[in-house]
Amino acid sequence: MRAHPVVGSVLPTPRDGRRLPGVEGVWAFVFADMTVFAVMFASFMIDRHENPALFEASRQALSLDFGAVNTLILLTSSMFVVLAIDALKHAHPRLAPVFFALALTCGLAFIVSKTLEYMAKFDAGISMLTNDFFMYYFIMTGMHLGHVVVGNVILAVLWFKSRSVSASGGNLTVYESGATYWHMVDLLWICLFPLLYLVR
Amino acid sequence: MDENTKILYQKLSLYSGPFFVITFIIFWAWLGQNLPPPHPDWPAQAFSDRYVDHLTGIRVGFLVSLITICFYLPWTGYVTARMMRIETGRYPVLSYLQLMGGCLTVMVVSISMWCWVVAAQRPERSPEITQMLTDAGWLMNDTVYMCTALQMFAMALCFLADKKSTIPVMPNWACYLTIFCGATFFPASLTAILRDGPFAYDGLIGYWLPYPAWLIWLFVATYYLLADLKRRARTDEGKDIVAPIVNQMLADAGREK
Repeated sequence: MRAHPVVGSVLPTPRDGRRLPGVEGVWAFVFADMTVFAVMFASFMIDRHENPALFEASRQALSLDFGAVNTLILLTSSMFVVLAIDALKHAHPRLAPVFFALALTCGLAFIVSKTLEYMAKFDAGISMLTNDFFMYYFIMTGMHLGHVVVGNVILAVLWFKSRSVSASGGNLTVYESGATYWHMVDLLWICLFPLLYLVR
Repeated sequence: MDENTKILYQKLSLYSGPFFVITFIIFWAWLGQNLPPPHPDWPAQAFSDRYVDHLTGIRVGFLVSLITICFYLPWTGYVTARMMRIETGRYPVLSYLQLMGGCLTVMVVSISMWCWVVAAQRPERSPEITQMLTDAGWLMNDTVYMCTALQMFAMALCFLADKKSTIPVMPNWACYLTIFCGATFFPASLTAILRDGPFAYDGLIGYWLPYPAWLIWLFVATYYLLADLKRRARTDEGKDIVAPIVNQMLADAGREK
């Protein structure tokens, strides 16, 4: 048994009923992680400023279709996660595993789509060493893909957990923490997509 | 061993962590000319010149660091013991993982410095060989980080699942920070492929992110582990400890403030 409620470290509920979803640590993690990506984005923009012609020519070699499909997939999966949390909150716990499974399917689809995109690049003889643009392209999307893989493991755990949740909904902290991470993965892609595929 | 002595050794073990960090910054980073590190895209001659120009600093820096890196061991030992109090029973797998990770970290960082000590032993040798030894040292650190990452993950997961302590050993955010700091090591693998830009071994993501993350984590963890040690001596395991020590520690804590 838990000796003390502080162990979970959920922030106390303020008077207006607003509270931080999930545990505070996830937000610390999200902040630190996004800072690292922000540094990479800044570094990309600085290097792009020094060689705009090369970056623009390389950008045109990217597949907008793949980028757009990736974006749609992630946004859809984030929506399913929102619906799953909502189902848990409003006492429809039976719907939650369905939504988590759909979100997980989108996450897996993203991995498949990214793999196909990478393979097309490799077939065209493009790699991380081709030039600075493709170095950033492969590393930033690769690091993002690593986050997606971790996110899929989290979604799978939430799906598994939500199958045995009671009608009362129970403690949502774990679900909210996982959802927060998944939304961050989505948000990072929303930044990456225009930065790599769209900015002229 | 009497309780007084036990507590003394526990405290010394914990303090050896920040002692390692401080000596690492002075001798490894500053005297060892790793602030900033050499640029991997330099011509071979530049690597030789670096050793010739700063020979004494580099020799003293890494030879002392090779000794003080071992102060990571008692710190790891204390953390293992503390984790075993949480992960009770006969299968403390996270505690063992943390222990092995900590020990291997010392070996990885030592082998890396050993390469540089070898390079500094005969700075007049062929520049290509000096360049290779320097590269080898960096890539040892930057590609064999998983032992350290696992040490950090095991520690965070154990403290997050703690249901025995009335006050958590480390607050929730510090556990997640530990996981984040461990995760910052992964992009360092790219140092084996890229020799220029932010992902090279002197770059923002290759050097300025993972090394500070590791050292800052150790400081943060030590801060909370020390507070926990004082608390533990006062309350949790109070029956093991004779009253005079508690009083002495409370007085110490008061004086430090």
